[in-house]
Amino acid sequence: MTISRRTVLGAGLAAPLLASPLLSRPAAAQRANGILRFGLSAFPPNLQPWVSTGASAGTVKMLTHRSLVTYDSKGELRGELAESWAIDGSGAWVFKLRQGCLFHNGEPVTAEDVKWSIEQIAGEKSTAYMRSQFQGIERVEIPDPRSIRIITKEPQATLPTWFANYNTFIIWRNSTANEPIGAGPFRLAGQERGSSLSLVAFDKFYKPGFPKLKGIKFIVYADENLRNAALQSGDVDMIEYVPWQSMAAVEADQRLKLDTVEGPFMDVLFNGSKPPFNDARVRRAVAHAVKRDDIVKVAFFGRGKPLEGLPIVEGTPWYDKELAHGWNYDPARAKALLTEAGYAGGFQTTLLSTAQFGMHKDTAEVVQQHLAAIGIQCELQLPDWSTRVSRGSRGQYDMAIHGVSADNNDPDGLTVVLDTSLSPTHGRSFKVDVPRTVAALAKGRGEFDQAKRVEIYKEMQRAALEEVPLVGLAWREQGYGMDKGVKGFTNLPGALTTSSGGMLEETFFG
Amino acid sequence: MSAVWFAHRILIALVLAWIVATIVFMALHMVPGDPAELLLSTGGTSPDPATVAELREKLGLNQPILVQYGSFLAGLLRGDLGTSLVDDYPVLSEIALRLPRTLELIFAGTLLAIAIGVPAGVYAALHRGGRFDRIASGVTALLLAIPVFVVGTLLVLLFAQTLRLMPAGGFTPLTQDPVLHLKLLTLPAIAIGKGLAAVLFRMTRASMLDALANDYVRTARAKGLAPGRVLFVHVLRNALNPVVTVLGLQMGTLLGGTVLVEYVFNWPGLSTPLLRAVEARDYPMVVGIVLTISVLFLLINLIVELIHALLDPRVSAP
Amino acid sequence: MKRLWFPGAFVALIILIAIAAPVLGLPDPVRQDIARRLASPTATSWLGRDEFGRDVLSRLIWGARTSLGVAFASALTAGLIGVVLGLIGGWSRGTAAFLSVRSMDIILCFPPVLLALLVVTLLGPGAATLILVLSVLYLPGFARVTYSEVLSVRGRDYVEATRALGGRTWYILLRTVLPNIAGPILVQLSLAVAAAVVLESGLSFLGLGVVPPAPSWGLMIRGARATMEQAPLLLVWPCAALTLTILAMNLLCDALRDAVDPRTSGR
Repeated sequence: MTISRRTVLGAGLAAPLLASPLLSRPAAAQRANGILRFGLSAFPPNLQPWVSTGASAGTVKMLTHRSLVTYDSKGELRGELAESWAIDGSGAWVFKLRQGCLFHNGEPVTAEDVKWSIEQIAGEKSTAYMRSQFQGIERVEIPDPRSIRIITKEPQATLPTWFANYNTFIIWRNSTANEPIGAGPFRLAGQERGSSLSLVAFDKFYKPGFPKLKGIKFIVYADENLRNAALQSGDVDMIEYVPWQSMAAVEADQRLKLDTVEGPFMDVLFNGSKPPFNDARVRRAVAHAVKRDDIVKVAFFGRGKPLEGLPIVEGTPWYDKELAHGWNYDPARAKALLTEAGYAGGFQTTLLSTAQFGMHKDTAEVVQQHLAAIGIQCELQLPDWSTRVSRGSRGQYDMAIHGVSADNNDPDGLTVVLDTSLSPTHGRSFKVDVPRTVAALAKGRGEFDQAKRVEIYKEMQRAALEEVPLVGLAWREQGYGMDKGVKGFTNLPGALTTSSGGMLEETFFG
Repeated sequence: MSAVWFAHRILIALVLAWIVATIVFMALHMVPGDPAELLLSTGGTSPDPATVAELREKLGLNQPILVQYGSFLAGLLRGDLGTSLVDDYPVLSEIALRLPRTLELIFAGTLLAIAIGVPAGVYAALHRGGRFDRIASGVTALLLAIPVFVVGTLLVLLFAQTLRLMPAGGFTPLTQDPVLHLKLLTLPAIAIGKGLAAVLFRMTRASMLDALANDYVRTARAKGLAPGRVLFVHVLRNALNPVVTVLGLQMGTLLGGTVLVEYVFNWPGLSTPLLRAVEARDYPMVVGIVLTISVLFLLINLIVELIHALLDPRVSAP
Repeated sequence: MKRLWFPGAFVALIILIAIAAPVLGLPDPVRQDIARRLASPTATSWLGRDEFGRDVLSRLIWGARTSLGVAFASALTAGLIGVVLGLIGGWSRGTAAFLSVRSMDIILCFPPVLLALLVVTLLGPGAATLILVLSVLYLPGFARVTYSEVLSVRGRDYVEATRALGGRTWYILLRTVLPNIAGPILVQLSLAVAAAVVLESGLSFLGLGVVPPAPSWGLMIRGARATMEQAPLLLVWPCAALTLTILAMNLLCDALRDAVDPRTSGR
């Protein structure tokens, strides 16, 4: 019966928010009571703390739950429930817990809760996003009530980032499965299924003065045109995922501002279990054949950047200008590679994408045209997204268009898209053999010395440019649009843009 | 119109509903796509296959399809449509929450369409070839030609973004704020009613012309009956017969039309979760909603037949 | 018969243009020219270029082939089968009637978009799937209208008379009943063609219609909606083409009905 109670609660909370007859102009009233109205692009399928159900769900979860660490506005790790962490002499990670952190039910956050949460994620029957990583943990020790010692089966240089993911939260250990109790700055006060969610500030949040807002009302606008219209007409104060074609209009609007970063990217995946794409030369030919500028223009209205190498964010230590353009547009070279591989006359094949999302469809159309220019004639296959996912993970395709962002800005965050030795999913190439890339990724994961890691990952890029586990096409801008009065929010850099929702704890009306 | 006739009809309706549910259940399970994998792939992330397998087990998707079908039927007999695979929410509660909103939208759209389409059709038929007739025919074509999602976007652009007279979309319960509720209803009702108004106009006009040409009208006129009386007693009564048929038929189309309208205006009716459930391969939710819609349709059907019988006593059930 | 000329020629012209697309010397409708995307109309491309820099006029005409082909094929298929089912149902009563009418109810129970969703996900998107879906969707409409018309016609004096004179069933159906019910059916046909084109665009909007890059009016409308603020004209062309076609179909069907139905011709 919890659900109907929640619905009633939701209705009750929604009443004062929506009751104003001047819905199109209530901004001032909302500001006075400190409630931010935020236009989400999708209703969270569910809010289970450890299960991955998309970025919209992540935005809400980051506000109602809390983990050991999180990202600050520059994208660096920052302590949350843990105030410090370090690797000890034996290669285990030790986290020191902050004093005075409380769950929403008033219980203190203890080392036992952390240990329990880790064990739940790694559990035999777990459906958690980080399950396989956490199963690499040998055991968790509690040397003293304020410390957690995590001993992994293999050295893990990036373990702290695991706890910054929005599918890794610390939950009160006596929570029931249906009502996980977290320690975030907001509490879920109610929801109208499929349309809106209401959060209210948690009064005993451990950081004094935070959250700055009294509450957040998430309203779902699945249609991008309508989401943008809601922002421009003042129905909401802020939206995520500003459609690319509307970014210029948001920038031009005097009341609004736009915050974008180039985070997610589009790429081509291959089925390496059969010819012709089991040959790295053919994959490289594809890499040199596509003029990326066209994709940026058509699919993203110029709101992006060509990606001619691996998706490594510019400005990070791992970025190398030359390697970043290793797959430059060069149709002559592409043709030569095809000839070398024995396909001088080109060949017929298929390109899988989906018509459900405009950017996937548009990207596929541009790629098709450029491949035809070097003699690769591909038939577009554009089923619905669900079928696309299913066919992708079963290897029922030749080439596929994909769009994703890495887990984080560390090159290790690319493992999920590059490591084709992992079991097949729709988000990475199917049975493409890239031994050197995979080896370099594994080496980087076990290396703690920063300078050495930089070298390893440059080597990884060199290997991948030859082995071609995927072909990068374009970075796309991910934008938040908001009223100029909304302050304190930062769109996090690179792959972390989808984690920016956590910044709403520092957001305020000014 | 005996009780036996009625009971017979209801029995048929129930059998039809069962057939529909079975077709949808089986077809859905044949369609590629795995609900567990899809849920964990929301937003393009790549789930670990071991995690997917665990979720499949948890959701009972590893059982043979006939076992799943059996437990679905058993639930149905108990009046239980199961729970969503996505968030475990009872399907019946979801329907109870959203069905009234979709019905309201359809009702408002239909009312608007009847109020405009039928009188315009009668008038055009009576003044066939006149200026109104010609203009209306052109407008009808325009109304039919512009897709709902374009009209919706244009309405939002004009009334919400540019003039700022209306909110861009959404929903608020009638009990909380009647004015806002009606405001939010207006644009989607126009979008959903515009096509039906055009269809009703065409159909009314055509069958009016047919009826006007009939022998009994000529006879009635020859007998010297007043034109108004001829029109209302003889012509309209006969002319409305096919109009009612079409109206009944269009209900299905309207229910389908709500998919796009609800999407474009963010109206949280029944079509939005249906679309989302098909995308997510949320089997119990899809089957439950389709079952509801078919029962609804069969009900409308029954009503249409009743109206027919009232309008034209010669029609009786086969 | 005079009234048939103008709308007849109108529809014939549209169909002719669509059929003649390959010999009109149009630019390749799928050839992209990204540098000139969203270009305004010029002397070489009269209606401008779309978001991929493809020639809009060429896509409009080639798209007519796809859209009209799909619409006519499905409306005619549905009309033919539907009328036959309706005639059987209305005339014979008994089990045949029961089956023909009730089987239509099953189709009607499905919301159209859901039916399309299911069929398209099962068979994959494409023109052939679209024709199948649309003809199944419009089948009950024809069957229902025919059925209820037959029911109200069969009791009339002239039908009873033909019957009493020992006329054969098919003869009565064809010569006596069909002309009398032709009006509403032709209207239904014009509506079905129009609705098919519109539904094609709706399905394309949801990504279930014609597979790009092949042009269709539905795909053009979908693409133009995204660039509505940058290039509003792109939305106007396919919608205008759709409106004109539907208007022409309506006029033609009106005129046809007059020609077929002896009772209204005098007016």
